[in-house]
Amino acid sequence: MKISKIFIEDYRQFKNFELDLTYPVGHDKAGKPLEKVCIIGQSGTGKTNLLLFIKKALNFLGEISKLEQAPQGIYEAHLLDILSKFEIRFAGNPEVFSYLSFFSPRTFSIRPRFDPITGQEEKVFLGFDNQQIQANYNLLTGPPGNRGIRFQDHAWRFLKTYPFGYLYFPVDLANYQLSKQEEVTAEIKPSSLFEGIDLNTHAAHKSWERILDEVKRYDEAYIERSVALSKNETLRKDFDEWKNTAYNPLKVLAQELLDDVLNKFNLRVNQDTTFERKEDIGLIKIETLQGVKIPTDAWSTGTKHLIFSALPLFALKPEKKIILFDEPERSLYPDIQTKLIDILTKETLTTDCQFFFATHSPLVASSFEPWEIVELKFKEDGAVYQEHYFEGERHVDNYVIHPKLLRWDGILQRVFDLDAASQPERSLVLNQLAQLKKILEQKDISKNERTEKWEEYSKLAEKLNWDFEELNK
Amino acid sequence: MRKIDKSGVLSTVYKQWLDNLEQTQKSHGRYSSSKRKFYKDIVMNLYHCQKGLCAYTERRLCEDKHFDAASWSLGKYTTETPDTEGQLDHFDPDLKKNKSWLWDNLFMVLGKANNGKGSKIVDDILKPDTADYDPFKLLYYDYEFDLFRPNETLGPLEEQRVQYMISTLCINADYVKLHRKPFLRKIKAQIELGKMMTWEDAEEPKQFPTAFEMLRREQALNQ
Repeated sequence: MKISKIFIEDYRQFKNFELDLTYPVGHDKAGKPLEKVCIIGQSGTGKTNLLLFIKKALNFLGEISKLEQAPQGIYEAHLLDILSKFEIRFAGNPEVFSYLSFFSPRTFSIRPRFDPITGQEEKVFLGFDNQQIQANYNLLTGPPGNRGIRFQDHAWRFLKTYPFGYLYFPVDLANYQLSKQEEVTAEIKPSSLFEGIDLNTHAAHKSWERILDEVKRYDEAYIERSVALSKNETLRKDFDEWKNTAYNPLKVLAQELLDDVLNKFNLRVNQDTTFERKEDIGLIKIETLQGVKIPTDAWSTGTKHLIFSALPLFALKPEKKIILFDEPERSLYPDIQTKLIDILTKETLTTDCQFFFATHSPLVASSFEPWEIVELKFKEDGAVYQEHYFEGERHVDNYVIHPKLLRWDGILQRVFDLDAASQPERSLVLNQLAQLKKILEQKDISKNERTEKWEEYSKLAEKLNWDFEELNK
Repeated sequence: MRKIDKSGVLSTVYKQWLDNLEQTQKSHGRYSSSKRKFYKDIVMNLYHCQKGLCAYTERRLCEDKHFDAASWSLGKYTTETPDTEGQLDHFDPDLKKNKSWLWDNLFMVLGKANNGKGSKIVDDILKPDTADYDPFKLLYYDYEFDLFRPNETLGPLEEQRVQYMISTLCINADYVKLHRKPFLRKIKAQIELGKMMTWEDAEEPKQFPTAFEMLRREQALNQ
């Protein structure tokens, strides 16, 4: 299930805010929900709030999904609170959870809605009003056959058919506390109807224990085969074949995911799995390229952030889920930021998931197509709007900003709206250079003057490392 | 990427060892295990042949004083090796397994270019030490965009091959251009604004000599 549209009538800085999260016209996947979305914007424009809004709305659906099995009344109070705020429309397209809205109090209604053009009945429409919900509350829990139950039936059938869930990576992912956080025990596969995993409350590092179980199984199978081999040399071929084909989780984790990046920090995953007790190996082991082991408490913040971002995805291998990342670039050096999105969206980690990244990093934003970027800006009244990167129809050919094709300074100026290309001091020097150049280009200046001006020019140019394309434009 | 003459072998002990292996068709041994034996003899001799420049990008990697012939004694490099950004590249990565120390397959290159090239398949059309390699027939330098392109006189197939190798050898990588354009801009300004020399009498620069020479020839044509 993926989100293709969000409408927020009135929620914090969002007023009548609408997001189209589909591929534009002219794209091979036109009309289908985006596979990844990058949310950018000045501090306070609501990047994190948007992620939290999605999380909250999905939690709401999770509550609905539990309703059928719950004893009457258990969820009533909680539901009343949430149901008063959300409007949900279940789309005809089974792959798409197409409409996710947040409404201010409005008329309570559970009614079929008709498309004004075709006259066709749409699937389900649900709206609530704080004022009237008490009066109509019995519609939710009343006897079968009433409209409330009809809604529940619809919702339940939909959720059962299209299970969903999310995985939320907060900003301070690396600030874990071993003792306080819960283990990630939840399933995040299609088999679970709904599961929301918030890594604020679940410990990202604990997902290692899931991987560890797989590592142990591999080790046991390895030892079993080694023993058999020592008794019967003819098994060598079978053993070699098994080694080449068996799933070795640590090797995959190292070679396909982490080592590429860790190598840049002069680190790698220690693939030595010789340990006696599960408790001895509380977390994945890291060592320098020279083989020196790095204790977990000595990991850099960037190393932690990277590993804690990748481990839960590797351990849970989510399918058809919504993955929410808040500032995934935290504490990572620029060259790694440029590769981060490719790493986290690797096909080997997730299946058919939809990613939302809220970021301050131009380098992260450069990994996205223009239609995948949601840039939030303040209006005069303090509410926010989305700045569009296209002119006219929302068509792939009408986009005027292409982050993947811009230089980093271009991204800063065009996507992140930085007013200047550098500090004002550079502009002053450029002006001086331009004036000197004009003098030096004159043919009739004296030799002495040329020498003098040239010295001045080259001294200034040296300060800019002779890197000033602007003067030639 | 200029032509490289690798006939000036100063590390003769290594060369004898290699020739002996080649004559007897023995394996070179694992790349890492015999690393210490002749590694610095090879690296410094390559710098000597390449005049301290990256074989592909022509970035300066090593100062002249480190690869002066006086640093060799009895066929061995005897001086302390400098720290550089260079790495030993096996031009054809397939030869790394059994012919890891083959002189003809080795070049000193900028570390980033070595990583960028990785184990990609190579085409000898842009191998700088081959007898018929001529950068002025195969390449063209576009100063405005700071790009090496296949020479326009090439046929479509050759053009494609050259373009593939320009990309494989990272000749136009951003980390190269970051230095190349400002470097050439400075020389151009010295000539055109400072009038410190003319295009004709300008000496070969300390790095990026091929781009400079192509720019010089273009200026001569325009005058």
